[in-house]
Amino acid sequence: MTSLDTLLGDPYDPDNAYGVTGVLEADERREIMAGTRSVLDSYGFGAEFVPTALGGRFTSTERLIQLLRPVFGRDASLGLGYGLTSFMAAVNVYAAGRDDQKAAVAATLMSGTPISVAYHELDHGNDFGANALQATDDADIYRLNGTKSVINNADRAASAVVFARTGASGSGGREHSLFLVDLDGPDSPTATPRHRSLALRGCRLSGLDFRNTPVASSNMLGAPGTAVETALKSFQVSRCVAAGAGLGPVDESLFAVAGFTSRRRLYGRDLSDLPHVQHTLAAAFADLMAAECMIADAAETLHTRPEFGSAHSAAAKYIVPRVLESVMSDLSVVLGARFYLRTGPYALFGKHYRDFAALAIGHAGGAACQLAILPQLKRLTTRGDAAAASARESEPVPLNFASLRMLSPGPDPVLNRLRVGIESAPKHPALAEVWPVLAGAVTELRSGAATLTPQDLGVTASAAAMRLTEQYSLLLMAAAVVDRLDGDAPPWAVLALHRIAERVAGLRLAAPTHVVLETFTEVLRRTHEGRAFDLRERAVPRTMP
Amino acid sequence: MTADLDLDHAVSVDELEHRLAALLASVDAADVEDLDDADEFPTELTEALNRLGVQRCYVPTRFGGLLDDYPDAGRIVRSLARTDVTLAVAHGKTFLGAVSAWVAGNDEQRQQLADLVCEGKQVSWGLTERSRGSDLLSGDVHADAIDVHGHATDARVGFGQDADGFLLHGEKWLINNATRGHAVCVLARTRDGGSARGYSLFLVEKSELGAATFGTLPKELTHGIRGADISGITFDRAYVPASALVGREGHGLEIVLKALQLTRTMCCYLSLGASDHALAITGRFVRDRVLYGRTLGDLPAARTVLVESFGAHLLAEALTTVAARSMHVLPGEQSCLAAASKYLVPSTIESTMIDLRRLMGARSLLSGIGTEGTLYKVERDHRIVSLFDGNTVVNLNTLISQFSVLLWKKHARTAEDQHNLRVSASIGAPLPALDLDRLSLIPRRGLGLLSVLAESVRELDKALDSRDSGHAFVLDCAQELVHTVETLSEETRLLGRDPVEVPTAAFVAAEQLAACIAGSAAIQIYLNNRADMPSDALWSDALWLQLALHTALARIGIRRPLPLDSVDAGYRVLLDQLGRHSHPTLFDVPGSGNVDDGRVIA
Repeated sequence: MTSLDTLLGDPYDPDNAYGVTGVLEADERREIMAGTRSVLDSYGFGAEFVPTALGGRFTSTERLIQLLRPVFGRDASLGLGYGLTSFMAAVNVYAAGRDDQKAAVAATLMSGTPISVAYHELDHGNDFGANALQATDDADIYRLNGTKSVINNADRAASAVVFARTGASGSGGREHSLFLVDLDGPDSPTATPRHRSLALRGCRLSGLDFRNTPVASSNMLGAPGTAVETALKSFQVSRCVAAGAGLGPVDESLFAVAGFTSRRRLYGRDLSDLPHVQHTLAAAFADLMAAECMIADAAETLHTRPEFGSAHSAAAKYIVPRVLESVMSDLSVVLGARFYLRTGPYALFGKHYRDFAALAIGHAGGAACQLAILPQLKRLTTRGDAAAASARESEPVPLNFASLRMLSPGPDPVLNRLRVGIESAPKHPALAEVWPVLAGAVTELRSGAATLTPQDLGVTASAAAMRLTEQYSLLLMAAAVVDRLDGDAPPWAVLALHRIAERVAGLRLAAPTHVVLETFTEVLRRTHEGRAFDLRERAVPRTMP
Repeated sequence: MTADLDLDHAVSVDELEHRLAALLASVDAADVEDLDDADEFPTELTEALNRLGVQRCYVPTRFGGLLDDYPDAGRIVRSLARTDVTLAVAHGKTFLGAVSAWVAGNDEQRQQLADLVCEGKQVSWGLTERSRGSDLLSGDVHADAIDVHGHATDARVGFGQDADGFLLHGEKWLINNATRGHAVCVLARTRDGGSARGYSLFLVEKSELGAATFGTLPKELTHGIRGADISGITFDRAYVPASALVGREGHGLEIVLKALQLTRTMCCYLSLGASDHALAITGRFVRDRVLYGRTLGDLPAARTVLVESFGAHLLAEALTTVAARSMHVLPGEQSCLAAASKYLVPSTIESTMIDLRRLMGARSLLSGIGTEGTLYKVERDHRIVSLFDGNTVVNLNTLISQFSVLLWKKHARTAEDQHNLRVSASIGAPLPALDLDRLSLIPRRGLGLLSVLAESVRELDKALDSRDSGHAFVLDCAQELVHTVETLSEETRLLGRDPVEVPTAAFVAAEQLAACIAGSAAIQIYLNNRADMPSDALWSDALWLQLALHTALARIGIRRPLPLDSVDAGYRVLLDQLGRHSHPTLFDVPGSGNVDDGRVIA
């Protein structure tokens, strides 16, 4: 059990001040429960977003994702509002800022105060290149004019990382610069009225209005014109972490539904005796574990193979929310009418379900990730050296922003490790049908990528080209699971690989019934023994609602 | 609350529809969303609907209402849902509450109910209970017969003829309009033992109950349709007269199952309305959004997502239309068709809404950005449709229980069968009167849509011009459907037959079967109406059929990417329809705008 699990306590314990009742009541009021925020304050969570070199506790991306898991599992608004969006802002500073700027950001985060990340303009969405907020040079200051929208914590943050146009259009991708803007001073931009959001209700989403707002030139992050370059690096880290935001909510949701099925009777049986219910619970667990594997591997790539970071993070951020949203959908069918109630023992599920719709979209959603992968796909899918098996428990290699690249330099070592693994005829009889499907998919992906035209490498990409990025992402997920088969192929892994193969090839590949049953049994065991549905099987304090 | 009907109330559904369209066009989406945010019932708007007399569409003409053409009633419900699903559910619930009486009530009961409904009084359907969910055979609410002396008759073992009335006892929960409604149609146990003959239906007017003998439960806060009155009703030995019994004692379950055949098809119109709204919001966004120097709709991948969603919508519309028309001409098949539609239509539209949400991005979740409504509100409101009146699993179980009669037996088809199938798929053909006595619990002679599928592929081949690029695509898709049905016929024979512990593979088979039924419905709609449709882009080159069959195959798990030209053509048609303020539909009559003049067909 992590100390955060202990601090947050059993969500269903009626005496737990940080339990679901309080979380849901706050959510109804469009707030994050103050209590849960103070728990994170007393834990000193802000330090988790600050690298050790700057006095914080961040050492590895994977560790941060694991720490955030119970936080998002309690309340996604809390996870985003307390820290993730601040982290997204800070990463830009770690990537491009001067030492004094990094130190300032570190101090803000460690005091538990948020920083906003202000890229987004309502009219331009993910097309940052078109962003209109202007920063005009005026002696030793810049004057900023324009509006940023849907910015978390814009009305509470101490400062904001702002993406602004500093050059004329057509300057070849060097038209924008990043600024660290103070939000507390007399000349600061004003926060616009809070958006009425239908999900993540506790997040304070508003905007920032800049009217000739003066910002010192020394507040620019990195050299003029380097905003896009910086963003493409910082997004690699924040996308990976954001992809992991869904793990906690799905874990909690699976627990709630598993509990429901063992208490609910239908047609004279426990719901949990019905084959299709068992299948849904088993599949949910398998998909959740596969997602965690993929995210862990993508996080490791950032540290040990940073030149492939842009591809792996984009792949994780693209496919994991889709897979997990599908899990939530299937679980909601099992819960039936109770899924639709905002009160009652299963109401946390409904909140997570709603918040998921936003998590899946937030922060440079699906298509932007696919577009990040496309230009690299030909190179990534060529045959090349396989990565060595990952040495998972060793000391984390520090994250080096300078080593992050926009484009991968060569064949994807993880994809090649999968290829080699399949080719070496692995001895897992339960997976006999899966290997040829995966092998076929790898080959098809390679030949598909080889025929991509220049128009297919950018925004004019065809649906077929976009589909290739989905194949690539799914195969990386498969690689992550294969890497954890070890000697005895755990049932969840066998089921997960069948499901990934189904998605990748578009055909039906049912896992053997005993595999489904064994995976389902594992779900029940963890439910009753107070174990999370994660790779480490950590102990968690939770009683069945 | 009595509605003051318009003095010159509409004499036909068409006329009502025009007035309704004008009323709905005046509704401000922002007001709708403000009410929703406050969990408030749309009182003003439902009263306006009552004054217009929309509830007359829930009452058969024979009893003074406007219901004689089922698809007409469906179109009304669809237009309500297009504005606000909460409104459609809040107002249209009365149809669901009343339908059991239309199926099985005596004339006196039906006339009385008809008068109440036309006055604007709401009727709920009291089926579900707190610990029982969708298993109607396990309800605890019971009705104990009492004789004229007020003594319990030995009733739950054998029904006494001198029952003067019944004492209702127990709680019905998650009942729409239980609190605001005037009456509730309650399923209650009249015999011990949990047998299929142990339940009866009662039409209970709350105003007739002793005040101390019943209560309503608090409103439940819900994920979607937040303003709806989802509450409940408790009975504490509440006396209802024998005249409240609808149909015969012990026949409650059978009546409900037949009534569900009607309501499930009506629910598909709810889905279509929600889908109309979602496509309008997203289509206009995609058209107007400029990025990377062009519109979002100009980007092939985005355009494909939108057009595939349009195709799914058209498939759903084709199936719903055939199902609704079949109520008139092939009522014996409804036990299959209603279940197939109630599974396929809402779940397909749910899928589409997710795709559209991803296309729209952040705007889909923020209220008040555009003027047309927030996409996620439509999505979460729509999510109720696959939950009530038989959820996903219940409908798939129905199909599974019918595998033998649908897939393993060959049924002889008469000329009358052929004729009826044609009428069910020909929009212009007049429909015979609804005869609810012909509803049956099993489709004894199979499903016409499945029986004709192979033959229809041959007809398609003849009908389509082989020079058209769509020709090959459509035929390929159609042949895949035939092949799938053949495979299902074999595979389903090998499955375990336990009716409770149904294997997952059976569910997959049922899902695929429903998609084949939908595909067949689309083919029949195409074959039977193409001569009558103006040569508009949606029908030429079988464009819409390409889009619809692509979806049907995708639901089966077969990938057939749409030809690029068809994606482009589909996009132009969708924008054209949205540009004329039409809702997306197969049956668009250009120049009519679907609002003022011109006959709206679906």
